[in-house]
Amino acid sequence: MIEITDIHKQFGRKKVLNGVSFTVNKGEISCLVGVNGVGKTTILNAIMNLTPLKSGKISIDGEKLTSSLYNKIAFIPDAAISLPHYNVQESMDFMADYYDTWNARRAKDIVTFFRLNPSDKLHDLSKGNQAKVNLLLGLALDVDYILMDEPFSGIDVFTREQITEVFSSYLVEDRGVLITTHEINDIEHLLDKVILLDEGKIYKEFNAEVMRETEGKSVIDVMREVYNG
Amino acid sequence: MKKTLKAFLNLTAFELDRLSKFLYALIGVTLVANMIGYVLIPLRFTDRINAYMVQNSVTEQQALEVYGELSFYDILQTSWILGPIALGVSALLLYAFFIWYREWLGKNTFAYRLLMLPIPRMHIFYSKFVVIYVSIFTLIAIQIVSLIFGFNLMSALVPSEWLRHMSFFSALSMHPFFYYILPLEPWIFLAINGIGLVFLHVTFTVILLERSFSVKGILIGITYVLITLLIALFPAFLPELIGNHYYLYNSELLILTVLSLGLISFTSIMISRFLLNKKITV
Amino acid sequence: MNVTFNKRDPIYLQVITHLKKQMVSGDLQPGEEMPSRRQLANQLKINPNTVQRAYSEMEEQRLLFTETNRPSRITEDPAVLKQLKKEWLNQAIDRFVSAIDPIDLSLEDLMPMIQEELSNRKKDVK
Repeated sequence: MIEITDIHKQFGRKKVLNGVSFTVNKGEISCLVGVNGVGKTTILNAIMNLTPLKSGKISIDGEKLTSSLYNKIAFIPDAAISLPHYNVQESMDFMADYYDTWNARRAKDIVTFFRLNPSDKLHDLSKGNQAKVNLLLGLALDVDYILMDEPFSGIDVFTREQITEVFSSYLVEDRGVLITTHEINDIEHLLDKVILLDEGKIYKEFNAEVMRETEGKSVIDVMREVYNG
Repeated sequence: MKKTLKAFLNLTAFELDRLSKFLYALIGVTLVANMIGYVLIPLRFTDRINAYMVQNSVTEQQALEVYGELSFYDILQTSWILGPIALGVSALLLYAFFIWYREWLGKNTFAYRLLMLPIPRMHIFYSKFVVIYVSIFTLIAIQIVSLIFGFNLMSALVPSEWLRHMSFFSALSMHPFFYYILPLEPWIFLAINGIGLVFLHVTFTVILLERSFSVKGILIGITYVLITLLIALFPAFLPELIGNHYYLYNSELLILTVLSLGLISFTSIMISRFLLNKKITV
Repeated sequence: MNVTFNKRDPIYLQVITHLKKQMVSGDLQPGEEMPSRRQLANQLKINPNTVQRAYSEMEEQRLLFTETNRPSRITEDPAVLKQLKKEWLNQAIDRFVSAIDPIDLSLEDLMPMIQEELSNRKKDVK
């Protein structure tokens, strides 16, 4: 379980996170939603110790994040993070060099699934294919938790469909997944937990299926209530 | 332990690979420029002597009296030799910044990947540090080989009566550039590299301060540099301060200097470690 | 298998309806093994936890049964199956009747229309 307790973050005078707490459980797909600039990415960065917090606590299965835990939790940011002059295979080799949890067989499966060509150089790839490489490098790690920042942003419909398929596949099964997105449409039927952020706080946290059952509302319905007043 | 060492070597090899093209370019420029110098200067010299002899119909001896004999030092002090060294020094100085900033700048934020490697983050610091030092020593070694070659080439191109007899080492020692950069005097070489090492640590620390606190980080960085300068120069000013030039022996002052440089290095590493582990932002 | 889910009803209920339809039509035979929750999730492109919930619910309704360490299977109990068909029909008639209710039409006028529609459908299938 990833436990986020009362985290605060400020950029200059601007309070971005103002006491946010929630948990991410294994075997569940959780989604942080909120309009742009609401601090979703900051939360993921903070979990991965890539940005300092003003206060608050984050633990992963009860432990504080140290570099050895990067074998247990993977982050797929919304930016290409491999070297552009590498090809797909070299990017995978790089991962294999450092991560104990790199699963070469699964990596091969994903390359096939995404129809990537191992000898393609990253800087020659389309934006959609670059996003796929990013996913590949994260998903092929045998980690317990995966964080994904805006996996659908700026990607064409068909790539989006392919990426959506990842979420109902064995690639994420039994793992704890935390996604941020403002394009909820594509994945709302895949989510377990939805965490709505607004003005640095959690406005609402609910199970999508329970929301449909008890109030007959889709995730977008709930979002509309929050952001339209 | 073994695993982290392997990861560290991996990372260092990786950084070296990223730097290699840049280093090859520097080596290439150095060798080409040196070669031109080694050939051009002696040829120009012999041409001049020969021309003078023909024009004024004088003997070799008289021509040499006018122009003087050629020495290796005459070649050394041209920009064919000094230029590449100055270029190398400033290029590596720039590279000390670039080696960090390229992880954040550009389309790919490789900093994400580096910081999320399952190895201690100081490995990143040390690997970048080692790579810069490897480049420095590579360039120095190449320079030495080139100079030895150049010395012999000059001796082959110019009749030995036209050469002023000056040993390879004394020619090098005459120019401060070589005196400080090449391992001619072991202690000087050690001292220069020691200072360089401390300087590089401080530079890295300032870069990390900027990466952690942006503009505020630059101000903190400048303050930090001033403090380290004060600490480093303190032993040199100590005799002034206490108004007694005989209070400490020179060897004691030297030890004090070494200690203060060590202190600066140590503090820089500690600060860098803290920043990398707790404050850095992608 | 392509199912479009609407976003306001619980998805597990929509999955159940989908499976019930297959049982009624005979696409799923009594005693037939069900795909694992992951396989079905992947086919329907939904969350495995949702399939899990649908399966549990159907087991509770005795539409599915699971022997230990075996995949779930469709019930072989004729009473349950009969009940399912009856329920399905009742619901369909209920929906149909409430849909045509606003139109003033006698059963005699209606019957030939239904028959024609049925035979059209059979032709389409052939």
